[in-house]
Amino acid sequence: MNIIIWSIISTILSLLLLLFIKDIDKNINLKTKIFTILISLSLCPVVNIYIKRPIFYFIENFFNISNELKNAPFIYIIIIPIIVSITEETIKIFPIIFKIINKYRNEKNSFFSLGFIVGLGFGIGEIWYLAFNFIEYSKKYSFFELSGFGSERLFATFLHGFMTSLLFYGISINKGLNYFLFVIFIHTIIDLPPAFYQAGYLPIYATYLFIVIFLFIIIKPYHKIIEHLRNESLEINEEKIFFKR
Amino acid sequence: MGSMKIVYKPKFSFWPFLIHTIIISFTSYLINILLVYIKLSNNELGLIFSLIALIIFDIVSLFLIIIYPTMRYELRQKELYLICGPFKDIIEYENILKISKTNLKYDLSSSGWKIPGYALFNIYYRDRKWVKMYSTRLLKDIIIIETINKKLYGLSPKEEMDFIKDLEKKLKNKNL
Repeated sequence: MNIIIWSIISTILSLLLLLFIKDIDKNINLKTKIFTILISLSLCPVVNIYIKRPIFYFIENFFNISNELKNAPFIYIIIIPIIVSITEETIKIFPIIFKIINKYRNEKNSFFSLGFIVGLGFGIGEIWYLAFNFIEYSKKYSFFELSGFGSERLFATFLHGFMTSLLFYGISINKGLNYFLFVIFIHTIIDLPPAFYQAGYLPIYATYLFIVIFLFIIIKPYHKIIEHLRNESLEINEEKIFFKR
Repeated sequence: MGSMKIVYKPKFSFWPFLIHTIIISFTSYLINILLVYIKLSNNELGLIFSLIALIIFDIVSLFLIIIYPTMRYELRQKELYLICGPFKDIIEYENILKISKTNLKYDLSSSGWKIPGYALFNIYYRDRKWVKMYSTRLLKDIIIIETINKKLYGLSPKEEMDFIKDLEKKLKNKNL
């Protein structure tokens, strides 16, 4: 039950991340945003159950590799994040097939926002996918001990929003492939430390520290992009001038 | 009479006291729990890091609420002093370019201390970029002082019109 409470907290806080893209675009109506987020919620379970699981099952059986990362060869620990990145970033493009989203394809502000929403939806879907997968396992942990799950999921959801917004931005300026490869690279880098942790190469706090440092590094340039896009559509509040030189 | 000054205070809000009490109580509670866990886990490094971070956050929260009632604006002979605890900004009257009142647009990613009823330090707003806040309001009806070096300061004096009038008098006295 504790993991469900943390999932609810993470979901609420993740939805607050929408404030990041506030005012970037006013063309997208609420209906489109709700539709986008609802469609994106299903992406994580779909990619995990129907794509990643069969791929890993095939690799592990074909090459006779243990599914316990602690017993797996080092190269496999590196390959896992690459496969995860490619599959996850690919499925995040899927919502573009809907006309309600695709019609904004040539508007970079709108598409950037929609990308962020898709990433957020994917991240929230992932929170609940993991929560239901670990519900039995998590019963032995207290609410406090599971706080790491809550905060880590919040970071992950933000990172999904970050990566997908860049991907959609790239598509809107006809540089989709470049941005796709860049996002896969970033995603792989982020996923490597958790894979090393699961394999027993890194302690948990080092993994966590890496994610926090990574967030610190990306937040400034990402904010610059958001600021640039926002300046194109921002309306400044009226002001009452008392004195002007 | 060189040291004569007119002091204006902002309208203090109940919210920062409540929010800070909740923050401090909650972090203190977490600190207690962490201490138990650290003992049980044989001083696990990750937990010790968390403990240090929480203690720092707790102290900072306590410090910020202690200095909250000291926030004030002093109109002195040649400068306007914006003060909150040990933090102080001095604006020379001759450097003031514009004084206006506006509503600011919130930005989630900004730094600074920004809770309902308390805005301190440099805060990024979507419409005005960086504003150095000495205010007991976060967004609404903020008095913005713009200086010639393009710096923005956000204030919220309680007697707003009196403050503006006195400030204008100072600006006119300088004959600028």
